[in-house]
Amino acid sequence: MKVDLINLTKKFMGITAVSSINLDIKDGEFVAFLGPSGCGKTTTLLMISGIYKPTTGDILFEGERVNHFPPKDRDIGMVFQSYALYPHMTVYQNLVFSLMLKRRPKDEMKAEAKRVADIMGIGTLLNRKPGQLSGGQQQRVALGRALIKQPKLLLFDEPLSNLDARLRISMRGEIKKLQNNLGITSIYVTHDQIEAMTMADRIAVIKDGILQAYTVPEELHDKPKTLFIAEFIGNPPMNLFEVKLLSEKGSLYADLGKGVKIGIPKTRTPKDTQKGVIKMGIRPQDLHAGKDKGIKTVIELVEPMGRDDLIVCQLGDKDIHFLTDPGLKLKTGNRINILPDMEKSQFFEIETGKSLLWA
Amino acid sequence: MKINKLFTKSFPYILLIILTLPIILGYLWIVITTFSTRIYGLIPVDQSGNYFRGLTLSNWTFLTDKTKTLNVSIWLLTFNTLIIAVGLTVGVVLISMMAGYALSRIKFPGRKPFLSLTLILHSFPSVTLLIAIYFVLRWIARIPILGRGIPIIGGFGYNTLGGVILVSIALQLPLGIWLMKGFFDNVSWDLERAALIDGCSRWRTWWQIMVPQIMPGIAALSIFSFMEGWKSFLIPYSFMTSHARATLSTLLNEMMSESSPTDYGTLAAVGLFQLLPIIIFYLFTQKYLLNIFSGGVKGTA
Ligand SMILES: Nc1ncnc2c1ncn2[C@@H]1O[C@H](COP(=O)(O)OP(=O)(O)O)[C@@H](O)[C@H]1O
Ligand SMILES: [Mg+2]
Repeated sequence: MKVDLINLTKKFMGITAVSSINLDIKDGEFVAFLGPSGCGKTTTLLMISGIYKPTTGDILFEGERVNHFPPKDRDIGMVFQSYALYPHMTVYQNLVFSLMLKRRPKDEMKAEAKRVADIMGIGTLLNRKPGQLSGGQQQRVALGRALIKQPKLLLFDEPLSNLDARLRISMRGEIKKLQNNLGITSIYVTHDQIEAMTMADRIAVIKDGILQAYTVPEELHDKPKTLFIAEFIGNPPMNLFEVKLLSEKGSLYADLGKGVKIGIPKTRTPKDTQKGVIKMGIRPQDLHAGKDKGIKTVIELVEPMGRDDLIVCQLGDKDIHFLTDPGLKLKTGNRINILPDMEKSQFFEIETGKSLLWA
Repeated sequence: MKINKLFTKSFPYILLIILTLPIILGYLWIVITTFSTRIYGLIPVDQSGNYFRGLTLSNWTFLTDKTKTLNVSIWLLTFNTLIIAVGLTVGVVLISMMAGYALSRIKFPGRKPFLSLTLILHSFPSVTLLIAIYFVLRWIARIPILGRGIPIIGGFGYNTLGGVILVSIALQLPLGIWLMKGFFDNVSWDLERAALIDGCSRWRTWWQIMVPQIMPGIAALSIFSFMEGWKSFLIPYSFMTSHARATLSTLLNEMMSESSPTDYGTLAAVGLFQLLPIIIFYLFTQKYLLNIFSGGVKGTA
């Protein structure tokens, strides 16, 4: 189902929780709302579900304005962080509750319960109460309860936050696969950028109730439009530090202090080179340890991360983190040369946080 | 060392025994008195003063004869008491369940002032309200049918069981509403949202999803209200004048304030008779009653 949010705004007693959000979701698309806690993701989702009424702005389903529709008339299923299963009902009763309210015949309820129980792998749990299930099982039941209605839109509010790390990763893949197979338009709220990056077709980054960007994951990662996005997306986080722009013989350099200068390639020339001091960003995976070329420095710390080693050292007077192959067996105190891949560098205006490359 | 440990372990028990001794002796006295012609300390004696003699059931004849004091059957009084207790319980629980939900979940103008007002009302001694309530009940009594034309409870006016129930409910409501609000506050919002999305109306969400979560609270409030109604004295005594509408509490009071010498044997027997249901009830329900004090839904995951 196609969904449009138009100037969607929600105020709570004068405090703006969601501020004029505009975005469109295509039929069958998997969209993530990503942002730190308290940024208005849940509020937006609850407006889409019809629990909250927008203060101003519109919500369109298939082009039809649904602002005044009660939740039950919106053809949606929702999965909550707290699972929100009905504690006094069995798993079976939880699953078929929405069908029961629609007075569907018993056989149909049985058949539908079996269908979703098979999809979610909870067939053996039907007679248990939610209190007798593990967190992962409860979340499966909650997902089943949302699916049994065959909704046109699925809403997820941080559904994996209460699960342990390992389960989170496997459920991540499972939900993604499920959404792909069923083709149900989905909105997935999370504060975990890895979840958003791995699952979503498009990501809406929200900060303080304001939509920062709405685009595909690769673009968020490679072409962050604001400093906030650059800081928020990517793991380990991007190195960000202030540099002075220098222009010598027609070439542009970034001055990192202590006489360290790095050439900026033509493709990454910041808009408005007169700025002087700007913020430079480079991801830990875009710095490499060179043999003899590169900037000389000393390793201050090595953090093994399994597949990579995270190295901390100084470049000019800036602290830098970067990833290397553990096979190099680098140790604290080793002298190395660093080659930054400046074709991957980012530049931002300090005052506004706007990108000087993409904004 | 060992003795020291024994002492610290037994000390709380010794202290509690000493503190509860007066109450225990009191109950013991009541029980023994009801089966004795006379009593000397805690020892039954007969007319001529012999110890451990004079055991009798004559104090319990009020169960079959009309009570001497009020000249009505004790069973009618028990019935009246039961009606008041049940009426109070049903009224308080129903209204508190709805009001508590509204106050916990719905934003409406005057919500905060209402909450503080009920709290103030709760701490208001009901004695100060008696005269005002008297006039209100006299006024209600003049309303046709509603005043004094309803079977069993009589109506809601002065000198009816319904009137007493009405007033008792009003006085009990602040506690009930706050208690229910507290229990509802502890139920997650998501549960309610899930129900709304599943297709429940607000009303159905309340009844089928929310109320089952606060059953421990409802049980506690029911028991508490029932006991309040069963033992209530001031309101029935003030607003029901005819003997046929007395309760067990008012009977006890009449017996004590009679001009002829008080028959302590019968008085104790009636007292015990009133107490027994409470004790039995309490034994079976104390686990729910404790919820009032822990004040929350446990294990709702
Ligand atoms: N019912 C409410 N009443 C008042 N303020 C609220 C309410 N719900 C959310 N807020 C406020 O709105 C902001 C956004 O909240 P929320 O949407 O829950 O954030 P998120 O889900 O992104 O963590 C927060 O500052 C929160 O305090
Ligand atoms: Mg949230």
